[in-house]
Amino acid sequence: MKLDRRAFVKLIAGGVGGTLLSPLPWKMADDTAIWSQNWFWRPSPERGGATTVNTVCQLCSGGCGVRVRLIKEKRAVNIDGNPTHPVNQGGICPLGAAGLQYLYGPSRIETPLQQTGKRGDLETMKAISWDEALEILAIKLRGMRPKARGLVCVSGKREGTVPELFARFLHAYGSPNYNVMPAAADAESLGLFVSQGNSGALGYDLENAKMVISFGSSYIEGWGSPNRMMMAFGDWRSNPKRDRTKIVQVETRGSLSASKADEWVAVAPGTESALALGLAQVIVSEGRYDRTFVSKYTHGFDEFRRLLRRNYTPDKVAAITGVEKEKIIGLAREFAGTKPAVALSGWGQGRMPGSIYDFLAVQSLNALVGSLHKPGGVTRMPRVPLAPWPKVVLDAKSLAGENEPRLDGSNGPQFPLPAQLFHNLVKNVNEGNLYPAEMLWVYEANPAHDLADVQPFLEALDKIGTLVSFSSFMDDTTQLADLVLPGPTYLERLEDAPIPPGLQYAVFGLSQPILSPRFETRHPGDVLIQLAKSLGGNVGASFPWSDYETALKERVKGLADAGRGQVADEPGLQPWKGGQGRQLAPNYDSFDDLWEKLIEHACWFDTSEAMPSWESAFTTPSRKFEFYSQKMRQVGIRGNDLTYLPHFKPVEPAGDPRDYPLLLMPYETMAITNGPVANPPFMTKTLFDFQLKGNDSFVEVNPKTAADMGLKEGDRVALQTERGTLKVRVHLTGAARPDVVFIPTGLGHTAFDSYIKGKGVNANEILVAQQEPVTGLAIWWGTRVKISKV
Amino acid sequence: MTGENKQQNSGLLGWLLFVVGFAGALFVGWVVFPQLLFSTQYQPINYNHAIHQEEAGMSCEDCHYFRDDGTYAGKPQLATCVECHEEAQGETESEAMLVSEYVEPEKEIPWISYSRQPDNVFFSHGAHVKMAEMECTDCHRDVEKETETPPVKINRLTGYPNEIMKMYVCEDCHAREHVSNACDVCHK
Ligand code: SF4
Repeated sequence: MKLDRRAFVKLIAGGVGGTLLSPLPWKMADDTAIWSQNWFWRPSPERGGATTVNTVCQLCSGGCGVRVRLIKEKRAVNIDGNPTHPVNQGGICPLGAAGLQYLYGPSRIETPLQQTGKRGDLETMKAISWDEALEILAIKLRGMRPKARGLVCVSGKREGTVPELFARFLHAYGSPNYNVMPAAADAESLGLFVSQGNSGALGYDLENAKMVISFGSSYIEGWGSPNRMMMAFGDWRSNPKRDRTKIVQVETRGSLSASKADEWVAVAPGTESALALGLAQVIVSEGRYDRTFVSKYTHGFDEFRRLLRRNYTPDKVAAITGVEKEKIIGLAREFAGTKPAVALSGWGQGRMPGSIYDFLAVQSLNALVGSLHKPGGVTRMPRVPLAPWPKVVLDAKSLAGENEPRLDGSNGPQFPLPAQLFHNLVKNVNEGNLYPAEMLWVYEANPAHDLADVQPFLEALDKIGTLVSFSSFMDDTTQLADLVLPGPTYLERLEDAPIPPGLQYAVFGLSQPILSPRFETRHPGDVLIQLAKSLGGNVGASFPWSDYETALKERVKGLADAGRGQVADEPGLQPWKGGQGRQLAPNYDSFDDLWEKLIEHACWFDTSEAMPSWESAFTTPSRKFEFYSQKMRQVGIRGNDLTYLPHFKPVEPAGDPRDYPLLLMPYETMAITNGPVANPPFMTKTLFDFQLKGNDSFVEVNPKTAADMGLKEGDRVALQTERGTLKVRVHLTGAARPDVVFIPTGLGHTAFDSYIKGKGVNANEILVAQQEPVTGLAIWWGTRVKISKV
Repeated sequence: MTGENKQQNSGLLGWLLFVVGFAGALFVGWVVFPQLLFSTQYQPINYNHAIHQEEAGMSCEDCHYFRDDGTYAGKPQLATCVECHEEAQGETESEAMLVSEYVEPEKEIPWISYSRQPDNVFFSHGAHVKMAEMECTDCHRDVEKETETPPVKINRLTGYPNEIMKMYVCEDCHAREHVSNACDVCHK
């Protein structure tokens, strides 16, 4: 008997048949599929009981209360809005919701780093211990003390105890060069100073306004406190218990804010304030202004009226802005006839300083209709009664520092106003003016990406001795640093959150470490205290606290001592209802109790500071609201009458129109972050494929313009300005005027991680920042551009 | 033998081999394969469900409860055991191990799950037990009389236990009960 081929085939056939009737092949197929979904690097969520902790978001200055969901109290899995926080009332923006991607993202810095090779080379960045890092810095600072003025600091955060500690350190050390990143708050603060007497910020009582005219403010795309604006918008639109608030958006681009407004007034680029003056002219000439306010509480009205009559009649303004004369008159009448009505100033999300005159033009409109310091109008931001720290201890070197000129030229002969002029500092460093910058500290700022006209900054770095970054992330600036002192993220540390921009009542938020720091990071407040102690002398004596927590508590004691306000512990609080000046019965009985409740609920709020009366509101030389600013004269600004009055004199965009026929304007959107932290991958996912496709950014072009140039949707083009060239693709949209093209800011990082780096282009690379002659503020609303197909 | 006979014989042999192959494959597929595919794992200590119910008078919910936020706690944490087992409650080997290996060093007991769903499945016990009022035993084995925790069969390829509910079972029941079978009901 022989096993021949046929028999063998039968054996196999039997085997195959049997196998097919057994579970083996089917189970293997199924299990192999499952196996292929379970590679070892696939993240697996922590399982276990969940808890929720309240804290405050610090990803922008919005000051929202958030709740973080933790599994087994150690793994954060979700962030949403805290309904008991009055600012956002449970709302959250895409950035806040994506906060965990910062906590767990790969661009976190794990230990202090020292650059041992060439700046920018990540390979030669060496991990060092905290002791080493602080020692390196302390030695440098000791050596630099005779040239103490050469220490420069730029903070991305404007308010709060940590920026105050930085400013304090510089003061004690002997440097006048504490700076903040440019923002609309710069023009706001100067504008208030020259027209009302005290700098500071505005608080808009928007929830009680019946009409809002926004002069270029992206009111639902990130202006002010973004979630507060969303909530106010919801209330204006859909609260059945109140009249619908009318919204008018004055803006060149057909933005989301424009499309959600009742009326979009599409002005010619950069002419928002001309329209404001046009409205003022109609209101004044038709006698529709608030006579009591204007006659008793203003100074320089006649000069202002004459200027309006001469330069801003509806015909003239129509010619400047491109808005029909009838529309200007109609809008002015409506604004004056609606009570209360308020005008918003500050372009976009408020990251561009803007011109002081733009600010004054818009706020004069508020003054004319009597909306200053009135419900539904605009007032000054109330103060949070934090206790002061002891005075900085000064020695001869710090006193000398107080008398040094600031490297940004502000408060000096060229720019007499007390401005923040970081762009000018960069210019002075590049031109070798005044004195050298020996060391630059960067705190929660990313100037190497976020500063419009970024090229001069990068050049200035070559002239700056040492760059020290306090960032938590390997951002565009930090990767150029010589020394990195990484801080924990906002979810891993204690810090106060000051009143967000534009709010009319007082809030004090407290971020707390909801989990222990993931890495060898150290709180920047603690780093400064330790550094000061190791320097000793008056600097050490100026930092008497054992740690940041002690320093913070010392200030928060002021709230308890004032016996004011309440901890926000129930949903639905609406502090704007019932007006400002309402006393709230404190719901805490001692400092310890207050602190404990702050840790639990993360927010204190207060409405007891009433809006100032017209008698007491102004601290100008005339004790009145000054249309004609005597303060400007007083500080030494020289010029003709026009200089002291709100007027329209745009800073011309850089570039010869013959070489660069179109205008390039940047715009900001809620879907792309613009702060020191880069767009998290979650948000990048929400971008349309006409905003970002693969790694390509888009420029918005009007279809007609595109047709004339032979461009189609998606075409690749080069955008060329005086400063440089960017390669992008074309998106055709009616939101762009024929003579202007628009590009979003916030993309095109050169750092962070593979999820962020290289996505799109950075508009700041080709925008040219101009300077306002009187204030020195940087302005970059437009740059002339040439588009060519590539 | 004639040539014809030879042919007949080899034909028979062929069919015999076919049957051998067929039966062998069935045996491998049904008996050997499952033995190879699944590893047998034993719980760290024996848990006697019956004694906890009968003698200690406990109910299922004492250990397998819903948290205040509506989520299901699953297997109990050590803290629940410690409520009674701070000290040994009996003479068994498991009891001694419980106290010495876990309670005293405050170490969680690494129970092996019989039916842990994959990470990409969003399964809510609340929706099934509270809202749809299903019984635990509709899906899980009845442990009421169980004195020994059975070993867990873990699929070597997928890492999941063999008792795990497969997607078609979910879909079947959802279809029968007129509950949506849309992807995002279970895959968020
Ligand atoms: S608006 Fe700002 S503060 Fe509020 S959640 Fe968003 S990022 Fe955070």
